[in-house]
Amino acid sequence: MTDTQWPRYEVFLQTEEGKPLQHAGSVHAPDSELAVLNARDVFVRRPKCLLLWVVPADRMIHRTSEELAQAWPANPLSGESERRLYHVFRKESHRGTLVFAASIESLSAWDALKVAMSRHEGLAWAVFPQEAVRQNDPHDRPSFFEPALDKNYRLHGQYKTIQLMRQVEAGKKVSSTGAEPAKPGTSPRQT
Amino acid sequence: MTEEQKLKHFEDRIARGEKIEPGDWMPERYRRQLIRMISQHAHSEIVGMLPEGAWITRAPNLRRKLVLLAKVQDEAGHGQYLYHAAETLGVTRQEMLEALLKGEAKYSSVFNYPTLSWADVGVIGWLVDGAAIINQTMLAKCSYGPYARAMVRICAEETFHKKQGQEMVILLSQGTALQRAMVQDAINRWWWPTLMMFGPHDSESKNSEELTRWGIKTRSNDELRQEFVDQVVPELQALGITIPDPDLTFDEETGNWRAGEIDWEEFWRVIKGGGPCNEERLQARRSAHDDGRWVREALQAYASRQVRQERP
Amino acid sequence: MPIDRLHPIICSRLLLMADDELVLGHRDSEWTGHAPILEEDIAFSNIAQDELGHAIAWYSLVEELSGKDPDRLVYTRGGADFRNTPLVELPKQDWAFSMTRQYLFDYAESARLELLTQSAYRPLADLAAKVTKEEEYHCRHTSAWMKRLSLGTEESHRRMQSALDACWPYVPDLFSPVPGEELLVQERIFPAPPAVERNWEQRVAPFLRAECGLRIPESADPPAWTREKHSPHLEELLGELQFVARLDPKAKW
Repeated sequence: MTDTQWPRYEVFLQTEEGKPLQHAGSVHAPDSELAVLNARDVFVRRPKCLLLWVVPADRMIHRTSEELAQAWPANPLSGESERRLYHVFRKESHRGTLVFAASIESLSAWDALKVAMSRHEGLAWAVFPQEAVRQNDPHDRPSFFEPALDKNYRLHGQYKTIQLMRQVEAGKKVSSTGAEPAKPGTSPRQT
Repeated sequence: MTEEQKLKHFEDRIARGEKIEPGDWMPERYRRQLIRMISQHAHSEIVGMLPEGAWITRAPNLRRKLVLLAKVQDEAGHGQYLYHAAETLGVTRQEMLEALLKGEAKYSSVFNYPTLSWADVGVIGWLVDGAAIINQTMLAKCSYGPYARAMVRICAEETFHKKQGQEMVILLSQGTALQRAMVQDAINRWWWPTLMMFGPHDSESKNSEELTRWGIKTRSNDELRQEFVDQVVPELQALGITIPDPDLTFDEETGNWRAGEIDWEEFWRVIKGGGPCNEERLQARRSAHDDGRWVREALQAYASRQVRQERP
Repeated sequence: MPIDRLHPIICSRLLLMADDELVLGHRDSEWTGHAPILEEDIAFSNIAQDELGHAIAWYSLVEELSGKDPDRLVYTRGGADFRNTPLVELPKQDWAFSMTRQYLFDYAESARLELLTQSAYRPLADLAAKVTKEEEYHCRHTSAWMKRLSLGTEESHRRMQSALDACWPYVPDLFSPVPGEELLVQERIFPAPPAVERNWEQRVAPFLRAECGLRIPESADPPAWTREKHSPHLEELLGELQFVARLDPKAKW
């Protein structure tokens, strides 16, 4: 680790009930506990989030289908003797991002990837072991994710510029926005 | 495949609207252009926190204080998303930050101007962020996956920036004599730097053809600038605000507002580091970095010990 | 006692909390753009927004009870009329000081809010329940940082011990009884300060000693400043905070 170059953690979010986890970006953090906290502050400033995963970037294998067509590792199983749970994510469409595809128990990440690829189509893939995942504690969900729901001043719908311009153009007096500052828990929840 | 074939395949993919993802073959020039563009964009967001951030402590009511704090926080977030996108191309955050702090990296010149009054905050929101949205909407369709995705996230948040700024300017323009004077003065100072954000005239722009073929820049500087001018001029005028361009005329035939000529001498001078606040902006970033060194070192030391303890 | 007779006392008590959060949020916001690392700049700005949001919530309840407009309370009162605890008005100094101050204050707020959720005055209990979620997150964040900074390097440890030494004389005031509060305690509207302090101490003292390896300072002479008699720092802070608003007090911004 060097100054300013804290390790990178890939960040995955679940934004709605029933929707799969998807890749959001990454954060730099010195350790996994701070990575979870940082990911929440960087990526959950606006609704909605139900679950957050961080994975050290060096534990994740990422390949595009093109890359995999060119080269598959020669001895993917070398050194592995234990079955572990691996999570596989895939990018399904060009405009989309990496989305959760399957959890596969396997002797290696490459083996898990192979199994996933036999079941699904994908343009790009990512795999990492369950043990590399750090997530928000489910008990912390209220303090982690609910505050963002109340901060509706961060949403552009709060700013009635079209209405105000019409008032000005109609020669009406414009003296207040009519919008109140946000109080925790008293603003309508955004879904 | 030969290099030539790889290049053709790459360009065909882009022409088909496919996204290039980290790991895909790409010409070295594509990688370098993107690293340059994305890191400059990231630096702009970070440096851009400073002109408006200076007014958080002086925001004149509780709502404005909260909103400005959220907006400036967003700029940091945008820088974060963009550094991530650049990192997928093989450059490290360390390298990018070092280049910025040494004064070797560029960032949007618009942030080298000072914010002299509260009204500047509203004007920056409406004009500067409004201009950024036009540029970023184009970039959201760019060929490089991580950059396009960062742009989509940023565009959604940027609309809030523009609207809160416009709301402020509307109210100031219809307010007391002091407020009306304050906002007119801010427009006088920010109008031209905003137009300069779109870059040199198309005729002076190098790289354009290649950037277009590679799906990075699909609309020209002048085109984007024209869209911006057509959007804001009628609205500013409706508020009774004078645009500081004596040559501004409406072209009946095309329906466009024709702006006067930009002071290109000033444009290049500021880009090269001669703007009113270049030194101040970099100094602020350097101080934050230096003052924070003991903090970063402490967290690294703690984390290293944890790792050593965990290893059997 | 009928609740409306208690409104003025509830208002005064709430004003203390509102002023605390406002001044602290303001100090926190001074780090935006200047924090040691990008991710933490974003995180600390979030904490600042939360504190300002809490201030707005308490001022709004004051407004419901008394008709006093929050913006007028914040932007037209002179320093002598503010009722914040002196700890929050101190300048931000270095990262160690700001983080330590935030940690101590967040845990005190958390301790108070936990008991406030039981308030016999329903609006207060409800608001406390909402605010406490954000304070819980602050506690997570600040305690993670306290540990890392205290144990990190010799330099960081030294700075953290200095920060704790500097904050500690201001701690008692976080739990000092406030005029009129006894009646609110009796009516079970506000928790008794000793109960809040106990709750706080149980969480903070062992953590600072055992987990952070910090020495808890000996009780020193209390500082010269109080909620009623402020340091010059508050005047300076308000000079900046109220600057634009005072250019034209009749204007809407």
